[in-house]
Amino acid sequence: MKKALIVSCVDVETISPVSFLRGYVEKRGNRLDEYAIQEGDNFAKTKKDLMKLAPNYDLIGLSSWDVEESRLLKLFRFFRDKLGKVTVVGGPGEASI
Amino acid sequence: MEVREKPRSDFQYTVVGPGEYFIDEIFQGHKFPTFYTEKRLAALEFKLTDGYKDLVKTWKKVSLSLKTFEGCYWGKCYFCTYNESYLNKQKSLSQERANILIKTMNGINKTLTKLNSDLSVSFYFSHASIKRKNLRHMIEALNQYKKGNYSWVSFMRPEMWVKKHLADIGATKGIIDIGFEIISYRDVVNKGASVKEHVSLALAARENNVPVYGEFMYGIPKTDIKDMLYYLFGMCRIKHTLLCVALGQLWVEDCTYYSKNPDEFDITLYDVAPLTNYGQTEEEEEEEEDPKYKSGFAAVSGFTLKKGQRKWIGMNKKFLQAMEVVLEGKPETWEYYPDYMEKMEKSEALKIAHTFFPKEKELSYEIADHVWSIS
Repeated sequence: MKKALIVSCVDVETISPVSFLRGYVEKRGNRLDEYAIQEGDNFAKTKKDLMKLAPNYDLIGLSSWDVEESRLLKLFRFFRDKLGKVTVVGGPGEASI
Repeated sequence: MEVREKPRSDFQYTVVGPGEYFIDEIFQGHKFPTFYTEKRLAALEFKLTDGYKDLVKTWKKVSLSLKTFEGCYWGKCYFCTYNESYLNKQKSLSQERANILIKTMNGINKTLTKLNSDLSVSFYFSHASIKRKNLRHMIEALNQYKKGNYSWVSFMRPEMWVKKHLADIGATKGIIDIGFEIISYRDVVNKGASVKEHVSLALAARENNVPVYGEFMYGIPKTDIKDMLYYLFGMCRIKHTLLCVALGQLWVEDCTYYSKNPDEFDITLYDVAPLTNYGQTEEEEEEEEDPKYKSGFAAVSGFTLKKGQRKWIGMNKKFLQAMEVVLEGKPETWEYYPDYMEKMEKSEALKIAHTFFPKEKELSYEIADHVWSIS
């Protein structure tokens, strides 16, 4: 089983789209977790949490719609370059029905 | 964050579109380019992530965005970037897909209310507007399959055909989110609608118990006192139909009709800056560190008027002050109301207009009569 962690940014009393990804990924026999950042969160804590979590995952993703945050991007570069993780940023596309 | 155009150098992969297939396939060892566009539709497989399970138990309401389809079939508004950064066309939703969407909503609602039976669940559809055929499919699916007391919100263009569907929308706990932009006797932003459509649709929605979320803007080029008075009376006329109001200053972005045709609007483009509004107090403005904000209107709107700017800004400020009275508080972005506001009589609206635009009494009477004649 492989594991993915998706970092998302959410408003109060909303659920991010990551729960939809999770349903599919786990149906296929893998695992997906989410780390949700809320506006006003202390970045030092976010960094500490993510540094602790990252080694446990094969893929670490960032869901777009997030605030552009240079410190967060730097952290993702660290995960890719130093920890050797697969890193991905994802966002809405043009797929229509 | 925009991921649509090119790979992001901070990441190994940039994926545009539904990400579940990418994650699954990369775990299987498939190779992908650094920039990948997923054309498949979202799988709509929902399983609540662990972090939310405890949170949901403490919440009174929850909102989820549901991937329906994208785009806007109009795509002509002067301020809009849909022509460039989003599709300005919209494919049809199949009945089969609509059925899947509603069944997905049922499942999510069941999952969440099992954790918290008092939870109020609402779904926000992802599309920028919904055309008639797609709405028919959604209503058909809602009527046939909806289980549970959840509500749903769809962006809707202010068009008269929507009125025919309001009874069904209301019966299935639908909410319509309308980009009114401005209510005037003419169509200054090329929305394809004016006071008649706006007022008539909002009143009909209220009659059918369909809440309206209204999105509005101010500081629009080429608007004059007649536009602003129509706007004021229009807001007074429909205030009791609104359960949410977003009122923000127009911010001209790149790739919009405004930015491509500044001469047509007698404006000079300025460096764009994040949105703010006149509702800020002077103290708050002084606290702002970015010196751009201190340069005033242009830094927020992204443009200046070639002539008459001072008077025009004054007119907009008066309008906003009047809006604070009409909307019973300082206008904010996305102001949700716990209940409908009281219906306003024409005489009360006239008093507000006379207070803030005392030199325009004659025009006020004329416009008020017109706006109150619309049903």
